[in-house]
Amino acid sequence: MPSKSPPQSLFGSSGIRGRVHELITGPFAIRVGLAAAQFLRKNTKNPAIMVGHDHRTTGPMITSALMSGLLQGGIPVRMTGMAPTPTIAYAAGKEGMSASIIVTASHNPPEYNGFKFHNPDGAGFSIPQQHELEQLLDTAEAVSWEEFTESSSYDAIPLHIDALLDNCEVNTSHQVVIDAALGVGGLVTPQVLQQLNAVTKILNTPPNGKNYARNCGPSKIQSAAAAEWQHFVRLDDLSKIVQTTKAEVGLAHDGDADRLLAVDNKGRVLAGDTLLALMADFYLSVRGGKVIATTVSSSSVVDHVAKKHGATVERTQVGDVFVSNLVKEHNAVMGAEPSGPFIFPEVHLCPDGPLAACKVLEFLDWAKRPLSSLVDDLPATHLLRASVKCSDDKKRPVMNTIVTVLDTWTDIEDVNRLDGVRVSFADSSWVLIRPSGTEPLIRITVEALSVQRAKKLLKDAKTALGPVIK
Amino acid sequence: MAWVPEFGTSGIRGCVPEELSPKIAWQLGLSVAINFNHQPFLLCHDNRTSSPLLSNAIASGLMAGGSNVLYGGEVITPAVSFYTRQQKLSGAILITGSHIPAHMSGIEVLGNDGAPVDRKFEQKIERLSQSNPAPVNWMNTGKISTISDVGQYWVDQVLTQGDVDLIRQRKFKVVLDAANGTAIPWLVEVIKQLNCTIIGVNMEPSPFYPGRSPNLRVKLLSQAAKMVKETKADIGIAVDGDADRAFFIDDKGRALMGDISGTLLAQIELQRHKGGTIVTPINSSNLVDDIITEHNGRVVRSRVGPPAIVAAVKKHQALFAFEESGKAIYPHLNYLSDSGLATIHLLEHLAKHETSLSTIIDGFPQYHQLKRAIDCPNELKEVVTNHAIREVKEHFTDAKVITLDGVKIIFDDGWLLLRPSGTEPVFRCFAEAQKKIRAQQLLKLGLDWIDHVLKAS
Repeated sequence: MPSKSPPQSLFGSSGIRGRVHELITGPFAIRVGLAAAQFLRKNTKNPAIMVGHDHRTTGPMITSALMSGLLQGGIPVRMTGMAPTPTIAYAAGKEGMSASIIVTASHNPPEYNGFKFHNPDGAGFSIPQQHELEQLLDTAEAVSWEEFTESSSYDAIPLHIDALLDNCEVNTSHQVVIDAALGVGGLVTPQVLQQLNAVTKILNTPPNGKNYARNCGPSKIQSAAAAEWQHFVRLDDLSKIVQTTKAEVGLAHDGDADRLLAVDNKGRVLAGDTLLALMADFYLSVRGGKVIATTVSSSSVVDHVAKKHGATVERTQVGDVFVSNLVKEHNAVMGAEPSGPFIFPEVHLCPDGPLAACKVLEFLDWAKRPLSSLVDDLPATHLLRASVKCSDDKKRPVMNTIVTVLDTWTDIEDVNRLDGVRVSFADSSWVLIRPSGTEPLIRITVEALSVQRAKKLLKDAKTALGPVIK
Repeated sequence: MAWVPEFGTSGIRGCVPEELSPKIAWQLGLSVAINFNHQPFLLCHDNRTSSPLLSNAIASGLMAGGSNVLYGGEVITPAVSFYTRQQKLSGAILITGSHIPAHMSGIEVLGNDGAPVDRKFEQKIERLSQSNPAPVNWMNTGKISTISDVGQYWVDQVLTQGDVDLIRQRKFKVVLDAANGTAIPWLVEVIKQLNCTIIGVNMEPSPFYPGRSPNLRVKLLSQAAKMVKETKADIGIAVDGDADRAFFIDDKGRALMGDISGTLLAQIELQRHKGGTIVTPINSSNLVDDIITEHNGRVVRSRVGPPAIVAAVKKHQALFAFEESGKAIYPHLNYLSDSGLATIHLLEHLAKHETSLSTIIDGFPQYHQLKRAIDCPNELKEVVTNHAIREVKEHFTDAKVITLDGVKIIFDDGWLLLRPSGTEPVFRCFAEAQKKIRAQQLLKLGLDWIDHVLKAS
């Protein structure tokens, strides 16, 4: 098991993220580029890198500085400009690059930015890779002037679209509403779905880095679940338009389109776990396979589905990097998290929102039933999420203390400390308390067979956390 | 090592990244954007290995300061100022090492008229950088777009500046020594359009300048000069690394010193416009005085270096300016030296007067000019200069002493100039006389003086 990154690490669960002009500045991006260059020179033969950014206003500024560092470090750069995270990561692998860096803060508010690092197979940098890179931030050196490199521009989007079309077979025309979150998913998903003969209506496009998509900044988030998704979760409009247009499904991306959420034909926003379970069922049915890879935070519904197929569910820490590695390790047929990243390893190991959108259409084709009835067939469990504020420096002591508090609870069946602490109870309910990797929050997830039990567990967990954080 | 940008006589120059790091370039971009009120900027560069990394850093700084970046890529230097001025842009940043060694580079900031910004502006940028200015709010961060016609625009415009048909009829045979530099495609295009046969020397673009130094010196052009003779070419044209400057070789294979060709180009302009003011720095040959007065011209002497020359050009509304380094400035079109304009005007002159370059040069009075440099650390330059001025004034009471830039001592039969270089850690000595032996004497006198003052300082 790789050791967890220390709390002072710049890396969160997917790359480096922060406010622009605070942590994420031009000079910092130059250092990141220089460090990545030295990392690649050391670890790869004939290193080269693909670089791109999402739709944030600060994307070009940070990307140029990053490139300056990479070129000073002697790495030839292919620059894709604005594109989804999975598009850039996919093109990097296809074009024989040694890695890709995407300048994005994913679903964080627009005044944030950051860096995601991916290997050529699409998987994000592992913890040891992140550690090595982080150490180079202060020590990396330029190559001699004869070896400075150049960048060339590259259009990654057509390549990704072709790959998606090659890997999906949809024979009927589906009615779909797409919510692109004013993000870069709008550059790929509508185009692909249209080529798959879907009749599409598109919301929140073209990309716009100045506005919060779905009018939902962090301060306006009200529901507990919304804290998990930030502006990714407000799917009211999507839900409404799916109903008024009588669409079969609504599909929503986050800002950099490595994630997908769905709304069913009745306009119900599906929990991430529900879509995860449905896609797991589909994949285990049509592609066989013995393993679904997911995280400690996902619902037990997927376990029910897997059991039906004689397959198992492997769980790891929260974060797509861990899921990608778990997929590799267990040769899993699919990997996913309830927060929306879907990994289909036959294409690549990067969570791919547009690919997931195609796969949902393929699934509907195969199931030949309305999405709502498929959802209703799943075993009913009640999963609730919440989060409480906790500054980054307090996270570790809080987690250490909360374990001792939870230990005093009754009817405990198992305590899992793989990522935060997950306590399972005899009535098959469970609670997971874990610090967010990207934000100053501690997240609580509970699941139970009855809604009363779930609510009580959530309340108990919050009550337990309150005094500990103070 | 400086951590903020510091300007020399020709922008900011240094080794990359030790003296000119991406961080300094980023800060420069940021400060320029803030100083120019977040207006869009053209960004272009030469063909050095460090150009892409520096331009990305500057682009990032400009965007952080709220300026949109028009990225023009690798392009011949005069085209950048030409485009900025004619397309009415708010300014440009040009990354070029020009004639300095390949491991170094430089950054020049051009204003909306395409001229290098003045010293006052440079000082503002330096002060602003030192104060660590805040970037603009994330929402107002600049964007970058690419423009690809900067070089072609220059080619098209240069070709409107002379009697192209007349030149085409002459079917000149031209030796072009492009120094493996940035200029190649565009300068070749201009010369080809003039129906010239091109015999190329150092024509493979390379950031390592394998053929010769990217500088222009008569002695660096022996290969091109030989080629002119061997191929019986009409003319040789040699440019520096980014082709703002040009030297010419006559049909006898003689590479002309920059102030001789500059004087001829000045004469051509005076003939075309029937008189006017010519600006040239204090270190140019006295030849210019002879020829210019002959053609109803007035000579204004400036300090050395582009900002000083351009300031004098603007002040005196000059018709033309040149520098012994091969710079030729046509102020009504371009405040940066323009090898293309110099070429078309020279070829037009030869065609129109049905003459050869050697014939014209043989008609010029002969001056012997000698130059030498002595190592002098940058921090000593000011002391040494002041010391030299004081002592020279005391010593040469009979001669005319000018202290416009360094110290120039004018005798009846020649002159001597002692001045610190603005770009290198050396002190320069220029000596000129009509008699070779006198020039040699003066040079020795000058070198002894520098030596003496250096020791005393």
